[in-house]
Amino acid sequence: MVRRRESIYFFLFRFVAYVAVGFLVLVVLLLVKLGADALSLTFLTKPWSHRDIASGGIIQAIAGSFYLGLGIVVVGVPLGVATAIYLVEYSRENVWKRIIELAIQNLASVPSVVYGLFGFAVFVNLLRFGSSLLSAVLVLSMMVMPWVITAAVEALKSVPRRWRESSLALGASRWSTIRRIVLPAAMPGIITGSIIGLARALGETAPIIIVGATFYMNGLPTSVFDKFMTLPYHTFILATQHADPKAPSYAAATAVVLIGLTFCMSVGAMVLRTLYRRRREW
Amino acid sequence: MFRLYRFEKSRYVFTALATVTVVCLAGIFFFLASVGLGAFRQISLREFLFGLVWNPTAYGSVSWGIGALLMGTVLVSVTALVVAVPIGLAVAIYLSELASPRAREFIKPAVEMISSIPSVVLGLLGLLFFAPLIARLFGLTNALNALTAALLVAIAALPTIASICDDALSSVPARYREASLALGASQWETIRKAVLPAAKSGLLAGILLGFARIIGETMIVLMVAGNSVAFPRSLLDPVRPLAANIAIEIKEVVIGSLHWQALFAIGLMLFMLTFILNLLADVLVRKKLKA
Amino acid sequence: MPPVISGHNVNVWYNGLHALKDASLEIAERQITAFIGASGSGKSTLLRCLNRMLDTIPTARATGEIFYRGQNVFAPDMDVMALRRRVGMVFQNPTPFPKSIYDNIAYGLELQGYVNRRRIGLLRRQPIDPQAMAASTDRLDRAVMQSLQDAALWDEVKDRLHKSALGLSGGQQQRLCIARSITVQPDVLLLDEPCSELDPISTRKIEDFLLALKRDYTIVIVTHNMHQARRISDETCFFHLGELIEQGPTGVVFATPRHPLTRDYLSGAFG
Repeated sequence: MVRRRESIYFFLFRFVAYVAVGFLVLVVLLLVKLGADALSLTFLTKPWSHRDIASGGIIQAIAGSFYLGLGIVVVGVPLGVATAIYLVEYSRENVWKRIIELAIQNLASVPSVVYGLFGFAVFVNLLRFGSSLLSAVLVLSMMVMPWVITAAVEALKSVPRRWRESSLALGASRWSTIRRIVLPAAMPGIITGSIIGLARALGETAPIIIVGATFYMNGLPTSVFDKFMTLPYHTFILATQHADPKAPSYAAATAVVLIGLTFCMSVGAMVLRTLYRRRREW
Repeated sequence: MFRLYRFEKSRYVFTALATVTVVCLAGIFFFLASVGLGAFRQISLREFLFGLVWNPTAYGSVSWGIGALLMGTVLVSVTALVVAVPIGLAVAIYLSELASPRAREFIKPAVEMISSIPSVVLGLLGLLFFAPLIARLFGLTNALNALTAALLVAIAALPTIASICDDALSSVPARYREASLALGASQWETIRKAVLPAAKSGLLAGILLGFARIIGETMIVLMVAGNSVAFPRSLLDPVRPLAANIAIEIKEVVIGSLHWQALFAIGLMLFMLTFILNLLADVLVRKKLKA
Repeated sequence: MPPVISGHNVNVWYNGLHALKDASLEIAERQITAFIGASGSGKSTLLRCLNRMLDTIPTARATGEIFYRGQNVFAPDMDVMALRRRVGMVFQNPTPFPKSIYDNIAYGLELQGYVNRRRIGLLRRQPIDPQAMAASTDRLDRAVMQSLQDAALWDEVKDRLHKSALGLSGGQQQRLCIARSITVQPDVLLLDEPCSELDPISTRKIEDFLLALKRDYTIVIVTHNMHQARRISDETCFFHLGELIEQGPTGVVFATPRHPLTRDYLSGAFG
């Protein structure tokens, strides 16, 4: 009797886990099915045409997301890595370290729309960056920091302590030790974590609705103070605020490109991580 | 007696860079509070929290009650939590206790991948697929309502809950399991009576953090919750949760106006809620570490 | 001849645990001094004080004085990096960096700003021709080759200088680490149980290496193995529960120990 109940429970757990994974597959299949009509080379490479959505493409949205990603790599990732270096290499067990750790933890769970509010008040208005690529990059960099920090802390901690000691014993300063020994060894882990964080940030929509994305523009942004198009915002507008009967299908197609991008980045990062773990010699 | 200590310029540089995180968090709080609290010079806290009508742009008599919006948030969040917690726990138990290493290596990344589905994509799926499905199931003409939103938000929060709970379960020392099995307990009894209690505070922390994620979810509720400021009477009514309300209205308001301040006050509420959930989770995790 | 290093009333606490109690000692130039004693007797702690590697343990606190050639090692304004270039250290586990053999040896000199122009950026991965190395006049090449020859490693690794040092055997790795330490031409070499992880043959090679190094370097070695201390050291310090019980010439300490604890330890009554 007990045995039977046990096997029922276990079957349930397994079933639920597989359903959860199945859902992922379902999402992709559904989207591809819905967006299949709209997906074409034109769609991927042509600029957006507002009048007749079938004649244009989403190249500006792809480029906009790319610029955003570039901005985050320049601003958010280095700050995140620097904070991780502080936490692992420099901090002592004191109140300041605790405060920083708590701040990171809380930044990770601040609702994205609140980030948007903050960005709108501070970057757009107070600092007069306007609704722009710059404001969006700064807001998304704030969001990405806790994710990058968590991954980088893991990576730095996995570098054996004895290498640091050996380097210090040769007369190296702590900074030379970090630069020449610790960072190169931790770099694959840091890159992996950053890619995953970046993929998540590029899917964020609520903050960029508020601080700068636009649905239609001529050409590409030419400076960091320009507005920009992005894939998630484009998906959102097509899905909810466009009257054309073909809009849902184009929204799905845009979503396919978006998750294609984020999945490729995430899978790439995971493969990198696995390969690296296999190759690791310490 | 002295403490061995060495001056390092790089230490100061990195301490300063790390402080950016604290500045960001403090900055968020400061701006939300400084703008948001301004609203209460003209709106009474009672009207704000318990008023049922949110109509900031009405001609004549404006009204600032977030009751209906709050109810929307509560309906969606609680339903989502009720759906996501059992599933998240089941996935976590499967991953940490039952799955073979190979299955784990495949399922764990898959769960991580779910968390990388942008919420706007989930919202789109809701619009195009889930809402029609639920409409047919319940015989509704339009299923953009709290229930549809809650189901999708539950999916968005599932990976958070599953992976933190998995960490909590996996960190239970093997000797707990061995001791229980050695006493003749079945595997299920071992999980229920030894492993789950030992991981209790970690599991609760995972649920709290999942809840924080649920409350802050914006895009899904913006797209599929129905966007109605009327007070909802059931799960099948359309709602407009707090986060969606901010996203909808913030671009339309005059900067510095009372409406602007009121939206920041809502933002402050959301921030404080997630902040408190986070602190609770942190306390739980620390308590466990000490024990 | 004045001692290279002298310590007076050195005390160390880890988080309040008194790990080293009032140790005073002198270390003579171009001799091998062995620290012996059971685990937790404070010998490694004292060793770490000598070049301030104790700083890397955040909970440690120290008092007393240690003079290295007249400079107070514990002084707050001590240039610790310069000190460690003069007083090098080799650890218990072999710790080659995840770099090529060449880069491991060259690391200490590169820290001091020496650059080999032929080996910048991606060029680092290029194979190194041993003949070209032998003929090279580049300062780094000469130093790397010299160190490897001193460690009797040159013939074993000359054809794989560009390959990862992690591919070497344990004994080779440890000799590489010692070679890496002497490349920066220190004055004193501290070794913390360098052979405890190695087989007898590798241990023998390292002992020969150390005996050869004695001509140019002052050496302090912590060892678990009293036979090793007897084989290679000139001076022996015996530690017990954080106290330096006895210091003297190795022959004397082993033949006629003054303190009953030393006698018991050497006869194998504990440890």
